[in-house]
Amino acid sequence: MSRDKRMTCILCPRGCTITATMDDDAHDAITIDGAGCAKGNLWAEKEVSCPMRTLCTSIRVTGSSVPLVSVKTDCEVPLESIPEIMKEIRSCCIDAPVSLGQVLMHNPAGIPCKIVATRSTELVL
Amino acid sequence: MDKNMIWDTAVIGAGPAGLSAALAAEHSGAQKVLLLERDSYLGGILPQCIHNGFGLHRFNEELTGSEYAHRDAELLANSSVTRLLRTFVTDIVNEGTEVILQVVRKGSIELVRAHSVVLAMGCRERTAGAISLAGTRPSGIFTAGTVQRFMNMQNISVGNRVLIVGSGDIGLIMARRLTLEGAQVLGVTEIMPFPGGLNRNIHQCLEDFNIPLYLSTGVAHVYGNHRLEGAVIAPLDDKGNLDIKHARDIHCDTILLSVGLIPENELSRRIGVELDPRTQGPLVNEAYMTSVPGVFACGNVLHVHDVADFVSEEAQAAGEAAARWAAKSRETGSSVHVKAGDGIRYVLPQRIDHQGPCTLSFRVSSPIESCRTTVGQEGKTLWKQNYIKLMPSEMIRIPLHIKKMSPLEVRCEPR
Repeated sequence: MSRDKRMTCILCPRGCTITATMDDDAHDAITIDGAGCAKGNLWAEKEVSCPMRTLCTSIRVTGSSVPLVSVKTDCEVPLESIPEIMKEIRSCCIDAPVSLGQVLMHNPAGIPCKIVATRSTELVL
Repeated sequence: MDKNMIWDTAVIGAGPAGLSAALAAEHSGAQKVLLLERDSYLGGILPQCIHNGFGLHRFNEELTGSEYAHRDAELLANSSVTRLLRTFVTDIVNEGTEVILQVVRKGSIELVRAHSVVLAMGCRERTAGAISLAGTRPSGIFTAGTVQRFMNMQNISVGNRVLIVGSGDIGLIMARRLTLEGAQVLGVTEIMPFPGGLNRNIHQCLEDFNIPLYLSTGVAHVYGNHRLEGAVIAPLDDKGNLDIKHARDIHCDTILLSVGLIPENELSRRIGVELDPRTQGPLVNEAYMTSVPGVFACGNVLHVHDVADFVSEEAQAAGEAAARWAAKSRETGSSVHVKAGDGIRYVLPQRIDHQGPCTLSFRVSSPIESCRTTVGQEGKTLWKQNYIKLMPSEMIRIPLHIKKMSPLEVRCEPR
């Protein structure tokens, strides 16, 4: 027996509706239908086995005129690992100054990724 | 500022539209470009948009809103554009060959003269009053964008148990954001039978976190004295009225409203710019010039966009045209109307004044599967495209080359 899984591609604003047909006893898709581009096909294959996301959040900063600096993971991380990563980011505080692109954390919660700043902020004395 | 200075182009608002318009005006030869911004930083809404999804169209890479703003701010820093922050434009007058702006900055009133003006004031959120939210008036009811600013820029937490009313993109993004920061998002209600935001945001903001979406559902009333205690939500019946028999009580201490955006056109009205009742923004030609000569409009003040990249693209064209106008390169011709035909909610520009390149932007009236979209002129099809599915939340932009000056019509029909 096979079953269908419908999903919306998140790669671009077009948001194609993609249908993955899967074997009941396997975790991989047999066929992928509805993606408007090749990237969408690859995304859907990954989405049915292990959904991956880029995490965007913020981190506390001291010594600046702003209380937070926005950050993201430098690569996609497993969706299921996001709560653990968030926990570690929440417990962390960074000293100003921070520059856009600066690496603020390595391998949070043991997940192989870096947390990088997506804005800059100056040191205010 | 020198009182006798006449600027080539003055741009009102330094969000994505204003930044691109000012840079484009300078690139097109305007030597004296002035960018006016009421806030204390550049970028408008972008710095509080810490989520990704920006830049795919323009830079071919995925950026966060703050990164996207940073790119334009860097370009601006390396340009000759004069920028004034914490500066409010309070009035605007057309003096024939120039436009005069009344601005308030550093506690005093000044006048700014310019040959052309780009309106890039953006939009604001509809509030509880705008949707006649019934019930008491406790604390805990916010617009989604306000909470976005509180959480992402000011580190202020707004509540623990949250209901989101309206499924606009900012509401969906905030559903995810609140969940990541430990709040419990109980659901998103939407009065229409389809979501207001992009499909990809339904997937990655709601489905990823098992947040329910209640379509065709409205809020009957909210309750609570000092702090919000709950909301009664109910599905709509066949006649579009709330079906109270099937109402459910949601115990929540916070409501976020994501129920639409209103282009901020107070200044446009002051100078007599004609507005389109459908877009709630100015009527423009193919160069984004409004009904007042020398006054241009772009970005969310013109029509509400879903993708910042398209705002920048549109603003670039408006900025270039404003610079050309300031250089007295003006042709006047006859106008032809662009009609939003069957299945189309609105189309921009609403008129075409000159032959040549022109980008049409439009949205469909309601979700439609397997459809054909066409642009027709004198019974001939200038452009056509088939789509698997189109949603009102998705703006379509198509580049055309207009060779004949006769009316155009955009239509979207089932295949």
